[in-house]
Amino acid sequence: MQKFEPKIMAYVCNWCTYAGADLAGTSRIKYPPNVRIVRYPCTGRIDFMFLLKAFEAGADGVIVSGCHPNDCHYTSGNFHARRRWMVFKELAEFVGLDTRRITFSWVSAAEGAKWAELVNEVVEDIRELGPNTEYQELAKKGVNMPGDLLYV
Amino acid sequence: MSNLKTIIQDLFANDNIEAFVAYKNGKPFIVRKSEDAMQVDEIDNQEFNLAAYLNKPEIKKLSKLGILANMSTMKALVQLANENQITSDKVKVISADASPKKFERFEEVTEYIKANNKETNADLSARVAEIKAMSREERRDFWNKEFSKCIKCYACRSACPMCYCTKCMVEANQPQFVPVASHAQGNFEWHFNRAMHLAGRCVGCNQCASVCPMDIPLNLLNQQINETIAAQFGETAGEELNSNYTLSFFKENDKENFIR
Amino acid sequence: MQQYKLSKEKLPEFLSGIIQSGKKLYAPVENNGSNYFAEVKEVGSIADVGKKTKLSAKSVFFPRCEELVKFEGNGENTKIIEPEAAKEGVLYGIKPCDASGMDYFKDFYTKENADKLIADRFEKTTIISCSCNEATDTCFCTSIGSNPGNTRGSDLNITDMGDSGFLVEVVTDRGASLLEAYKNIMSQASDVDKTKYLAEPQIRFDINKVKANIDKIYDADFWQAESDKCLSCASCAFSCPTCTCFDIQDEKNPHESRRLRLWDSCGFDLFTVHASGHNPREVQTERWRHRILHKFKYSVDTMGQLSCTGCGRCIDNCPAGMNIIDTMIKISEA
Repeated sequence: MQKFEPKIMAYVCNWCTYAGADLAGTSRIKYPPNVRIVRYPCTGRIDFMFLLKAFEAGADGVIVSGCHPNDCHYTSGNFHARRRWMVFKELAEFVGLDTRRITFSWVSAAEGAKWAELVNEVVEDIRELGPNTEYQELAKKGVNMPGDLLYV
Repeated sequence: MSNLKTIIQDLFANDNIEAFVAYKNGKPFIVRKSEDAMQVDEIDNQEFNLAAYLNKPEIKKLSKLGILANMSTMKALVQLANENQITSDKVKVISADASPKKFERFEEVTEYIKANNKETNADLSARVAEIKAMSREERRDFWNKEFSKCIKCYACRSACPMCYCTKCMVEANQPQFVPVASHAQGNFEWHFNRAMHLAGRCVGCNQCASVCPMDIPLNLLNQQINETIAAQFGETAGEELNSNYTLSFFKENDKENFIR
Repeated sequence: MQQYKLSKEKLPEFLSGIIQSGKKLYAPVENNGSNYFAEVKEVGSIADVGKKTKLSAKSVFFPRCEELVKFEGNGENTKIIEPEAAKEGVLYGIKPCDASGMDYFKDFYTKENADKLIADRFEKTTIISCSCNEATDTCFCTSIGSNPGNTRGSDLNITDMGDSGFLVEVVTDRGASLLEAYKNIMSQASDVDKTKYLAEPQIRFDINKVKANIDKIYDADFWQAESDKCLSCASCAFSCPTCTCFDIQDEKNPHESRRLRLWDSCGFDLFTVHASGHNPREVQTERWRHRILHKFKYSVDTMGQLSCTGCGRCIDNCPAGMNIIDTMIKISEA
């Protein structure tokens, strides 16, 4: 059987992690090709819905990464994001989302090696968890059910 | 002649209010004319959070109005003031207790809240703890089952005093972000969004759950977030005048343990 | 009208016979203290049919979310998937008010510009209504000229006669053919007067006065006072047996796309917004007036029948305590 290759969605900030990932490339540090990077101006721009939308589109795991605290290009975007994630993570666990598939990190423009290591770890972790079908199955439930109220 | 009725008539006569939000026969009632004040209820134990009416466009556009406020309504009013939705010039607050009192400024409202705040959500808190103790799969199935009852009537949104957006995110449809369909994904995303958008703003009046025609315990989601916020940031919405509410604000020393 | 008697012990046999014959059986089931319609696989899970269900039975014919069409694949390989045909079914435990609502629903969706999917479901579903022995405070079927034993819209009607068992009335040929296989467990009856077993909801307003006034109250003063507490949610429309409005939504991803039909309500402020941004029903007063006038005037003008059946679910489910009866009293007194 073919080895399961997870699809990882990475939402990163333009100023730190995107540059860090770039540095990993220019430094010729190898890391798995499973990650798809989407660049945002700042982690403060990353709405929690993007994470759910990634799962809807078939991602097996999500990485959210930006500047270390105090390093934000816009001074406070990552502080706001940090608060949001603290609330989001607890709620996601409360409603039963698999939060093991979501990884948050700080990767600066100088940390190419940290980025490569992070991607390595996440890919290995997700490979162990297997494909994420739970969220995609949600979209199929509750449609075309004449006369029935509950879809569970 | 009762106290509340004279106060309302007085507001119409001296403060030039255009409407007063109160109760009649246990249900919300908007007094539009001074003489209608005779119809309002005298009892002081109504539960409906009347602050929801301040977001109704027809009432929001009035230049001056009064509102009868129980504890949860007061908290909602304070939070609405924190978010620059109302001012003490525009909204005259009357306490809903045995001796109705008129507040001139929101500072007095917060003092009243501090002195009389006895409401606890202990039962709800226990239920949240019960759900937290379940396995992840059980929690997922519990919520999917609850959400599957949702018919997307949006009563939770309409009756929430904090839902004042003129365009809700489910109505942002170019492109459609949150599915409007009431299938499993649409219901899940709607309720997740509703809870997140109320994070740090929910005053815990439990109106979302009490108005739900399908009896979905939506207040559990808000209670869980309120508990998280109280534990991690030590903040509670609607208790003091402070325009820095949880998610509009940060501290450099916020502590988490999951960011690598 | 043919009548049969069915003893209390034999009712489960009748219902389980329907399930065993391969037909889908829709009946009220209990969930968290309220009853809802659902497909039942065994007779034991059917809840007390005497209790009003939270929502009407319209979801049997008009699900809250259904695919009208679906596409799979891309380019030349695109496959169009049509919705499945409905299955033979029996709807049991529906109240007479609900059943007459289904009759309106059927006329609305199957007469002019018939909707293939909904017409198919009506074609294949036999409706067994159960007369009401008790009425709730919010019931007002008698006020609009109906009654708790009305057989409109039903194929069969069952009345609980207490110790003397059930009275089964055959209303249509479809009802008769369903009953054919179960005649052995029933006994012939004739001229049984069921009215003494029925509930007697109070008459709350004079429908003739409403009809006389309905054309002249469009600009009346009471509309604002009546609608002031409405919060513009859709719990009235979604629990109403005759609210037919729907919304069409397309959902797409790279692999498949679908067109969905969802419930919609004239109570929402976005319901009438034009592409230009103009909203002809801008305030809740106008929306509430539209809802009432549609039920009591527009449907009479276009289809010759009232589209309110007096079930009172809109009153039960309203978060803000809106009461259609109060508005009708205002209209009748205008």
